[in-house]
Amino acid sequence: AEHLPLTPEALKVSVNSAQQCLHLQWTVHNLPYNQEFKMIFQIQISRTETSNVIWMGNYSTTMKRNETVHWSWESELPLECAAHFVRIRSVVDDARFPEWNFWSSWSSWQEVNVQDSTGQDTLFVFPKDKLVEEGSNITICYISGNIQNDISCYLEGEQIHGEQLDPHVSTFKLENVPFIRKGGTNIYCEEKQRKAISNGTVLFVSKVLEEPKDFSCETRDFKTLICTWDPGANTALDWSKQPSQSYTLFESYSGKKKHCEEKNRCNWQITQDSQEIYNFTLITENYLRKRSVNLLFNLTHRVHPMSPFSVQFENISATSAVMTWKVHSLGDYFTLLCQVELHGEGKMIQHNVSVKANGKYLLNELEPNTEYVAQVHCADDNHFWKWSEWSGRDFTTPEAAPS
Amino acid sequence: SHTLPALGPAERGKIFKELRSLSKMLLENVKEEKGVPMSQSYTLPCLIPDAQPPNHINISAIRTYLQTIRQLRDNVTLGEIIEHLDKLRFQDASKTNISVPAGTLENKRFILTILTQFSECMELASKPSNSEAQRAG
Repeated sequence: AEHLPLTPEALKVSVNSAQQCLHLQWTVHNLPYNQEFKMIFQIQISRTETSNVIWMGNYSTTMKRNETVHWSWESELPLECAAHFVRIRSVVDDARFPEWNFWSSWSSWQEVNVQDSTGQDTLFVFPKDKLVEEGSNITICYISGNIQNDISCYLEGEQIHGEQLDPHVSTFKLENVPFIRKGGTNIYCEEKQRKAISNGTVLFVSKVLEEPKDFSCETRDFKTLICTWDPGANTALDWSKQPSQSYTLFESYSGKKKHCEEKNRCNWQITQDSQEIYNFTLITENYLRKRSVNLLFNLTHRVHPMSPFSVQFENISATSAVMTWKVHSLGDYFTLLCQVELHGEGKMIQHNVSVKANGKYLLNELEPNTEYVAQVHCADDNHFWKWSEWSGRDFTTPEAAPS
Repeated sequence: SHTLPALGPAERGKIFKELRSLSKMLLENVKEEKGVPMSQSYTLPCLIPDAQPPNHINISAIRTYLQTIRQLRDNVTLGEIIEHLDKLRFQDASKTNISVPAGTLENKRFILTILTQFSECMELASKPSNSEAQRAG
């Protein structure tokens, strides 16, 4: 049987200038009812005039009769710089229907003209205040409308030379654009004779958002988890173009999420009923990119005790002293390993003590009439993670009693 | 009618000298950014037409322009300058309307152009007027 043409119809093209994207939607009316077909659509995009095809590609999808298909295309050239034209054709690529395997005719060209500057004695520069990532390749253009005289363009004050796209449009390809300052990279064009005819733009080049490094969490009191990381570069830009990147903690077992106020640390409340194993994802995001890092750990293996306090010395004699100290409680079943350091006579002696509650240690074999410094720090005895900070004091042994 | 501020010539002179150095500092800071050309489209009304020293500097209009710049790009020095201007300002001075240009580069050109003219204006304002020069002579 003679098959009806499957030319794509109702082609609509919309524009997102900021993203330099064409959004297409179309349908195919003549497909048989109640059937899904594997189809290939061939899309042609021309610039300035229909004969100047700059892009062609295929898009495969399955669809039904009268279903709307959506597809987008990103232009390397700002869409204001030139008129664009789009057309489509289709073929059924379905083994079940070999008879349909032939290209339809093309749809008619759809024109997209974002910036009509014909006849205007004005200079336009595009894109306007675009935000890009360091290292990107960018194309800038000026449109000179009715202006006949030469136009010069400058990047950060240095003249740049472009290519003529048409009598009124020149394009400038900037490759691997560097970050220069938070206020953006300045691009400016002017007519050589009448300098008042000028225009320009700022290219906001953002540093690349880095994956957080050294992501680590610990608790000092079994009440709060303190997570820290190295954020890398701050990607904030001036002129409200991009705030500093955001950081969010997500814990998968509890399903809870927290927005972190600071750029390199975040506190997470440990509730009574919370689990022992934590699976954190630290997500960082700016306008251009999103990155994340994971951390899986057992809370009891990440205890960083607070420093001991109330260090005292009792029964100080010419050759011995009893050192005592207090520790912040971490629960009845928690054992601390405390390390005592004794400094005196140019020597340092170290002793280890396991401590459940408060600590006590006999310092003996001391020298009479000698000044000593004794300090102590502690760590988790079961799963060593980190020493606490030191606490300590000095003391002096008395003269030996006359023998 | 204008209510003259309570400041005497000496105090006004001191403030203008301070404004001159602050405006230079601010301008140097802005000038550091390359690739921003001056514009012929913006003019800071430095002088009040037909007014005689010492009240010939259009403090109110200058303040409005600098406040506009402050909304575009806040800055500590700018805040200091506006505080000094407030000491000099006539109470019921005329209102100045400013339309801020669109686009970041145009904003930068506006700021550079106005701050350059402000610096020149403060240079002018901190010069002793003829009468003051005679009295001092």
